[in-house]
Amino acid sequence: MKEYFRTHSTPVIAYLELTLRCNQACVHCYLERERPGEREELSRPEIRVMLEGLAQLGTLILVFTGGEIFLRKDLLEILEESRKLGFAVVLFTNGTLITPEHVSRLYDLAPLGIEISLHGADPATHDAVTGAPGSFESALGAIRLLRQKGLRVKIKGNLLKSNRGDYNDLIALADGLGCEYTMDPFIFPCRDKDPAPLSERLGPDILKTVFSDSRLIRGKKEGPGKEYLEEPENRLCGAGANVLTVCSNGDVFPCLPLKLKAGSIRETSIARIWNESPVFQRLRTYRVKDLEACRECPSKKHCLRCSALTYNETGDLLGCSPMSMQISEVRREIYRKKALSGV
Amino acid sequence: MSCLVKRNPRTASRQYEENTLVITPDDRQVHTLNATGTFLWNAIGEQGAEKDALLRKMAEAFDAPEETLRQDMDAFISELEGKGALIQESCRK
Repeated sequence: MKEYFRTHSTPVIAYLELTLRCNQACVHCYLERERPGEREELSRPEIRVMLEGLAQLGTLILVFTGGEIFLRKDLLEILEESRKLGFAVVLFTNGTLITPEHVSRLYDLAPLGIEISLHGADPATHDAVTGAPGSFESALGAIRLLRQKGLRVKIKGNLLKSNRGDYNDLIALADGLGCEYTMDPFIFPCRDKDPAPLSERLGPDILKTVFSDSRLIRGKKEGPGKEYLEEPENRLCGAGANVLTVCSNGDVFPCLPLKLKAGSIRETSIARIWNESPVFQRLRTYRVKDLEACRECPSKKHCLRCSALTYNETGDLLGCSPMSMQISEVRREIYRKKALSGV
Repeated sequence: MSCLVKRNPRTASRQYEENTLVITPDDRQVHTLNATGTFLWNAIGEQGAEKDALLRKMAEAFDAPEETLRQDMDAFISELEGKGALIQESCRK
C-alpha cells in the first residue's frame, strides 16, 4: 500500500476544523485573530455532502479539530455520521466541555484517538497559558472520565516560555492517568502571519534537553542511513498529497497551519478541489531536490522540516525556517556528541 | 455448521483499488487486505453474512475447488477474528 500512496494523491487524512470558536485564548495559538463565527460554519447538510465526497476520494481518517470542537452542539451526530461512512475518527479538544454523556457516546464511536491539550501539570501553569481559569481542573476531569471508560487519551503539551518548558511533571501526570503524551516544541506564527506566538518559543538550551530526552523522541533515531531531506525525489510532506484541511466555513487548505486556499466546498465539490486546484497540483510537484536552501545545509540530516512553518515564518514554501534551522542544529550537535561518546 | 460473520462495528475501513485498509481502533492497528480479503470483507458487508453464503459467493467469483475456497475463507475469518476486525456469532447446525 505504501507504493499506492506514493504514486496516488489520496487524502488519506482530512483535518476538519468544525468550528474556530474557542472557550480558551492560549498564548501560543496559531489561529488567525479574525476568524469565521458560528453563522459562517458549515451546516450539517453541507458537512454530510463533504463527508460523502471524502469517502469517495479515499479518506480513511478524519481528525476533528477547532477551535474547541465540543462548542458545536451537533458534534456527536457528525461523528456518528462519519463512522457510518467508514471513517476512523480522531478528536483534538481542550477537554473542558466533555460531559459523562459525551464519554458514553464516544465509547460507542470507537475513536482512534482523543488528544487533549494540557500545558502544565498544575492549575496555575495551565490556566495561565489558556487564559481560562478552571480549565486545568475541567480538562483533568474529562481525562479521568475518558480513562475510566477505557478510552485511549493522549495528552498534548506545548513547550513554552509560559510553562518554562517544564514537561517532567506533565509526563508524570500523564503516566499517572494512564495516558500517552507528546510534548511539542514547535511554535507557529499565526496563520495570518501575526508573530505574537513566537515570543513563547524556547531557547536552544532547553531544546537540547528536549531533544536529548529519550521519552520525547518520536520515530526512528538518526543513523547512518539517508534521512528524509537527503532523498531528492521525496515529496516535501503530505500536505496536499495525502492530507487536506477543511476550515469551519468550507475553505480548503493543504494542512492545518498552511493557509494556502485551494477552494471552498461551498462553491466547488471537495473532489474537484482535490483533483483540480492549482494549489494542490503545485504542491504535488515539489520535491526535496527543489529545496535550494537545504542542498548544502550541514544539518539537513537532522532537520524536522515543516513546509507550513517555513511558509508562515518566511513567506517562502521552499525556504528555510529559523525554527527548523535552530532545531536541526541542536539535533546535529546531540548526534555528534553521541557519536563521539559511542552511545 | 454455519455461523454469522460480522465486521466488528468498531473498525474503520476503506478500499483502494483491489486492496482494503482496515483499522481496529482499540489497538490502533492498520491491517491490509489483499484482493481476496477485500472480496470477503465486501461480501460480509455492514450487515454480516453466513459462512455458507460467503462460500457460495466465493465459488461464483473464483475458479477453485470448494475445499480450497473453504480453507481460504476459514483462514481469513480466523485471522481477522484474532485481530478483532471480525466477529463470529449465532453458529447453528
